[in-house]
Amino acid sequence: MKTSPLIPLLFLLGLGACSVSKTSSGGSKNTIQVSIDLQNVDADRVRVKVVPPRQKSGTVAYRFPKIIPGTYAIADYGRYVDDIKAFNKDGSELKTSRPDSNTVVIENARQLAYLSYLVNDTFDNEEDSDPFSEKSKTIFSPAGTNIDAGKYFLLNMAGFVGYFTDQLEKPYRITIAHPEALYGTTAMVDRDDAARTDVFNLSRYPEVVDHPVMYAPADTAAFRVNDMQVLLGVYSRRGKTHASDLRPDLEKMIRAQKRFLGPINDTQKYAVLAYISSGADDDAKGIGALEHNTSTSAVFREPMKSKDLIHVISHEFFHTIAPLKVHSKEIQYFDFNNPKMSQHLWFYEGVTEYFSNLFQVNQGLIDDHAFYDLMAQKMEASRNYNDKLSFTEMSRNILDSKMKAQYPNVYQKGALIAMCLDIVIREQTQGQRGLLWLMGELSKKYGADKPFDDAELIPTITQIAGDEAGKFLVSHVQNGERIVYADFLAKVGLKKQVVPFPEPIVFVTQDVAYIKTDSSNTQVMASVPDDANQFYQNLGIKDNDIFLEFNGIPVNPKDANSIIYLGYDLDEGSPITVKVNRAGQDMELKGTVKLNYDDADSFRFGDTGKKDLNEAWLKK
Amino acid sequence: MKRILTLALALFIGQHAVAQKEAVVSALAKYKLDEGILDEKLRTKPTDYSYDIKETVATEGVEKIILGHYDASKPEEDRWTVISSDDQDPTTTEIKRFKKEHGKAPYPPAKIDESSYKVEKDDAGILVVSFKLDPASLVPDNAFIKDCRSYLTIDTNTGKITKAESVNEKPLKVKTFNVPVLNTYSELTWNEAEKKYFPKKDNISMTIKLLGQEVATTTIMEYSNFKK
Ligand SMILES: [Zn+2]
Repeated sequence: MKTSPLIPLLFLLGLGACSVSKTSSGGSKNTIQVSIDLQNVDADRVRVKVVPPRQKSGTVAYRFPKIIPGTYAIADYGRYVDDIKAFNKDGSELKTSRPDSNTVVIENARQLAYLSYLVNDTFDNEEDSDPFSEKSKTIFSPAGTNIDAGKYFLLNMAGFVGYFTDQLEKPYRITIAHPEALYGTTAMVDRDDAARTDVFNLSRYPEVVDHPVMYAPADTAAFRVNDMQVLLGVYSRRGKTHASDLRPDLEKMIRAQKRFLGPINDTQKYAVLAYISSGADDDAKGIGALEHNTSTSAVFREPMKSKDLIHVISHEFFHTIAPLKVHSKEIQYFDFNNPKMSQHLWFYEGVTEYFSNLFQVNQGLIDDHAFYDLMAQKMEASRNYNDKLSFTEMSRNILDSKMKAQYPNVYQKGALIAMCLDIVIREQTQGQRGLLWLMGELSKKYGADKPFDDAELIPTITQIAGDEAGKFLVSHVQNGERIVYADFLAKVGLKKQVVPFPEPIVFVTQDVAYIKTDSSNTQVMASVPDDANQFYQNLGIKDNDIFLEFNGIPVNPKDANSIIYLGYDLDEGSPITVKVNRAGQDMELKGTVKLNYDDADSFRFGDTGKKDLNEAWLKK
Repeated sequence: MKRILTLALALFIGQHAVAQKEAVVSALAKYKLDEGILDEKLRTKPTDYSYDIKETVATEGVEKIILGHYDASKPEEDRWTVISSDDQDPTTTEIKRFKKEHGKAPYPPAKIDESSYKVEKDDAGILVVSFKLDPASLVPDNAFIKDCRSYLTIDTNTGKITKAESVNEKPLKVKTFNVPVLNTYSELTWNEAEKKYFPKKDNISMTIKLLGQEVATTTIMEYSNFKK
């Protein structure tokens, strides 16, 4: 492993390359040995060699996943694998066939000595469509792979390593030869001292898929929160953002998450793999993250702020509870090529998303009004989806192309379901217990290696949390009855109120876009037909000003829309410098961000009789 | 998993900043292919009639239906009401959006590029003519229409227009947004009592490309219950 300036620190933390005793399973005859060559990249493709244990049957299939856990969409990783060949020990090729893109069938498998193939990356092959649209076949970038010879590699293992049918439980030993200048960020432990080789041992195929690695020039930060080690690795194609910039906010947040969760979380090591896309046409477009049990692979876009990392990790880290600690058999015994989906996406994604908001008010990172507004925004957003659909039906059929479009609602209505359940439990226990307590009870009953039957989850919750909780889940999650959120929020003293919400993009207010392009379509200019845009008024931006830079980041004239990101999710009152060209003259407009606001529905506390329950809900 | 809201962002900007259906229809209305029947006034929406509207917006497989009502007897700012959104009470945001969208003032009249006229079809009682608009007569906000071709379908037996359509001939740039597809058509009915066209159905199909992703939306508006 590459010696980076961080190595001394990593040693202290026990994350160092050689600090862990070498209890290798590498010698076992039963092990599938994989070598991945990141040093000799062949036309943007990486050579992989797989040495299997002796095969006992005449033919055997080697398969790449059709889908991996956490994505809820068909990926077909085999599409990116070329030139796959099987050889005997003398180096003669064995007969193979490829019945579908994910599968290669090897004849005379008893003679099989090794397989060899080339892997293409998925970032280069992303289509223009939204990955969650009905027809899209694009792999969501955080679940994808990237090969940029000598500079950067993202190894989501499903793209590089397959499994032999019925041999998912066999151990793997993965050897990665990488350029010396690149450092591997992963939650796995490297079993090799060499500067250009990393060796990872994994107990079974699902573990392989669960452990991504990112190779990039060393740009990492490491810290410890109680018993947990956290490693952050960052790669920015434009080199604008560094781990050291993101670390303080990340640490603050993870500390708050750990305090919120208490003993329910016992993660030992957590790695954050952050890739920052340039936003160019050939770069990653799927902005977001994919959870793994001990890490997260995340894709951001320039300009990236620590706030963006917080948005993503606050969600992903709570996945260490669901599905890691509590999940169904569909997840435990995940079928990578013929998956059966669990009915309980509301539970895995909804509860996770709800906690990622609740912990912020619970730990004082935001105030109660901000929390109510976050929930109100979810109510508004959920109205774009089918509100009368049974969530269990939707989950079970989420791979159906017709159902796919409903998926994003798991972050909206899914989180609101969790909120209502939390309120029901608080009400029933006079504020003593809530959803986090229920998750703790469920993780005691089940656990990382003890899955539940899909059909028993709601009855079990009813048993633990009471009839009211059960009734709520049956009518609103199973039967798809609409939830009147105001009724549930009234239990904790909230009343409907119209309040001003900041508009997300400073260039658009009241549905009017305050930008335009010049006649040659090469410059983005301010369009100021009126004085309603407060951001513009405050900085003195005038009609026809040509935008050149935002806080030092140039506006890319080739991609006029990239300006949207420069004006997206800014903080009220934060310093800003906008460089414009006005009538041929460059000038800097300095000041602070003044956002535009638009009225929308939210909730405010207004029933003093419910004060105790409200406080128990938000603060306990 | 969590995805950041590029799609939501696209929708936010897309539908409302880009959809300029009125521009196309009203610009068409300014043209006199045939002096009598193509008079613009004949195709402006009746402001002295009350009517119901059903708006169906489908975006990447997700559908939302809004029912609205236009009451001609009320003061101008109170004429539009939203009755429901997917059978529920509308939210403040939905009401604002709907009112804004429907209360939009039409663009100033534009001119037909006389050299662009084409007779597309002329048989079995149906005449289809097409034309483009003179870029010099457009304002910056609807300048993109110069890349669209408009089609009028006329029933030669009645001498009445039955359909007004517009199709983009190349990818459009609307404000700063790339719009690879913007097709609109309007079905019209002739109201003999008023001697004027009433809208029956508008259909707007649009694909916008934003932040590297394409988002397709279709908006259908159906008009009914015209009452004076
Ligand atoms: Zn998630």
